[in-house]
Amino acid sequence: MTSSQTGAPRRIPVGLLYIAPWIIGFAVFQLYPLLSSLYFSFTQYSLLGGARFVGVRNFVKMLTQDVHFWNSLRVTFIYVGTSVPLKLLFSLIIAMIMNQPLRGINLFRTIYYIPSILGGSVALSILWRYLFMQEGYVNYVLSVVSLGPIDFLGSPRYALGTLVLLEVWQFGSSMVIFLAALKQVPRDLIESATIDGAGRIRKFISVTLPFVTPMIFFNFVMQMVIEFQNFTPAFVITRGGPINSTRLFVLHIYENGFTYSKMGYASALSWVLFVVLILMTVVVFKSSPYWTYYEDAKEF
Amino acid sequence: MTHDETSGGRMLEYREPISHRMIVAIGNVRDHNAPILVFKEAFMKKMRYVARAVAVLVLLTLALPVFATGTTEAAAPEDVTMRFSWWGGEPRHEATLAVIDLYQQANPNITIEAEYGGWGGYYEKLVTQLAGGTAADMIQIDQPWLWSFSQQGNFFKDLYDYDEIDLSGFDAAYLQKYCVYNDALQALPAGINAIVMGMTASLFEEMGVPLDTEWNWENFVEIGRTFHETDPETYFYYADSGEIWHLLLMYIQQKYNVNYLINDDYTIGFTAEMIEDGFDYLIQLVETETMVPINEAVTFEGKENPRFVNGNIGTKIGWSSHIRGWQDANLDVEVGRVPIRPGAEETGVIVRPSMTFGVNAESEYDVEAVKFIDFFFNDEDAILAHGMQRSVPPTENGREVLRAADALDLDLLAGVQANLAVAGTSPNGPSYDTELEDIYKDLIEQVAFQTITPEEATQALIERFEIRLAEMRP
Repeated sequence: MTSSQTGAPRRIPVGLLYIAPWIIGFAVFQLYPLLSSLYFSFTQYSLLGGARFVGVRNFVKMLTQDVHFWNSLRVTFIYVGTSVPLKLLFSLIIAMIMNQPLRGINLFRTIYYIPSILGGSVALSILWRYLFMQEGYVNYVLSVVSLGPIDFLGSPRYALGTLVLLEVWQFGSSMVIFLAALKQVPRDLIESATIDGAGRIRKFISVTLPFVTPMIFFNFVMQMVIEFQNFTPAFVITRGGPINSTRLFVLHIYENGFTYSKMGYASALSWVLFVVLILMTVVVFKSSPYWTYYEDAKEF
Repeated sequence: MTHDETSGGRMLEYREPISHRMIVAIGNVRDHNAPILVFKEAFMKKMRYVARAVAVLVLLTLALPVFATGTTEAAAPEDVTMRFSWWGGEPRHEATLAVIDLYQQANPNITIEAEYGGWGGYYEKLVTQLAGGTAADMIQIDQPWLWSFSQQGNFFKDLYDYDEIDLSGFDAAYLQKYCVYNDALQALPAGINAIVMGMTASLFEEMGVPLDTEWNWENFVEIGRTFHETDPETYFYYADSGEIWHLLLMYIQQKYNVNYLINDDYTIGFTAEMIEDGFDYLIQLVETETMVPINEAVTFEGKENPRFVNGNIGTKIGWSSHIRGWQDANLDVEVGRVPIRPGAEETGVIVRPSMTFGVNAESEYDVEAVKFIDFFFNDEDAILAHGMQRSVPPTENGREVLRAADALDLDLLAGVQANLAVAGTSPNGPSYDTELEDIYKDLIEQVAFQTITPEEATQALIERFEIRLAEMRP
């Protein structure tokens, strides 16, 4: 961009003034806590007692002495690994169904979107617990078809599944994004595929799906980052669950930071989560050229 | 599009790419569209002044909060607003609010803001508030926390320093034992609690078990197992992992005559053999189905189990202050003595303040707060309004007032006294550490779910305790 003699020096300060609110907000509410937590992760800090520098002891302890660390990591990976793909799968399928110009289709779209607005709030989590407890409504329905009560929340095997179900139920926001993606698939390509004799499945796989892959990529990264940090359902519904089977990583951080008052160690754990998330995101990004297709890309 | 904003309404002859137009508009670039540019230059100069004015306005709005000071606490010297935080169930909330109302009526210049909720998360919230300096003026504190708070500083005012409160009704030794740390009276006990055995009278009658049975560890299982055997809907004993631990502690302490789980020098007071014996007893409770299955207890930790509400639970062993909750659920509960091994010297039965009231060390209105606490304990109307919502009143006067008004729950009192008579050594400060608590609760669950053996659990307990105790040692 060529700049004239008179304009350039005055533009930068003006631009900075414009974004000043955001910069200040970012610096105070995000950058400062971020750097503080990095500092605290090298300290022993019991909230009421003040911080004491201890070097890398927290990180060593994490790997050798914390009985819950590896379990929490494993539980969280399972949780993300099941809920995110399932959520995307559901959103895509339902989005395809919602893509049809039927009467009242907008009503259905709204209905399916509402759960994701309600979000993983406390009220919803309490509701979920009442649904899935031994005498809850789900078991009632199951008993009507003689499938016998299943101990959803009290059994180490099923408790995590209940939480996954809560996440998958909130597929609405992804569905809306997929709907938008489906709508911008070029009709002429689909028509020419039909003329060439392609069946519905073939059309979907070879024509529609490639156009949707950028959205799949976007949703996948967004949902993965969100699910890794999910806390409220695990805390409210099962508080770590029968024998720590639902002790998601952020819940583990909470217990260490607030229940045991070990803020330094909790900060160290948070940074480990941060690094793990970055690695996962990088992996997904690096793999994306192999399976996402952009309209203006030179080849698929 | 021929109508274009950046030209101020003039029509452009051709549609320029957006990027080009932006460059022209912002950068004042000279290009070949001279006539349009002349107009644009003038327009953009004006825009820049506007831009600068807007930027200044934006900055001012940002700066405004700096100028706005918080509303001062007291408009006139007399008007006082204080905050009072506590936990409890609905009945306790209502009783406490009634006391606050009485006080506010008697002292119109004082407003007390009530902050109350359930037990879950109260400790974490209090710790965070104390660390951040945002705790209330009057705080309800669980007695075990006083020790760990006092280790890290003085967060509550020394109530011995105040003339405004009459401490004569309290038992001085009781205060000294439970509420004095760092040579200061950190808080006042709000009630006397003891571990009691609450029994559902109707179920006991159904099963033909007399309510005044002298319980020991053998008949607890022998008679207990018959409940579920007779009626599969019922169970004799209901407990979550925390309550199970207290039961096992009593069992171990009575059998092996040990005073402390954690010694004052931060070593474990029990041997591996003792701990394993405790876990074995737990397995007995599980296998004979004397106890509600752990998966059920885990789901309802701290909350109401429908089985309990329907009167299908025989007994719960826990704090006397929780008995009110049974009564509020319309269950006819009798209070009895906990299982005691015949001839035991150390019973392990814990008696302590149900909870305490402290005054925030950083409170501006400490004198007013102390006056309110004095009212709470010593004013007759307040005592009547509050009743036994925090278990047996700690002051002689309080008990007398309730007795005279026939508001003293004599059964509960008798139950508390029965267990008071066999009171054991109080646990010391280190035993109440929250991380230790999590360790034993976790292992109890694993043993009850039968995913590990008592032997493995014992080893794990000792290992994890050692790690935590090493951290705790100063």
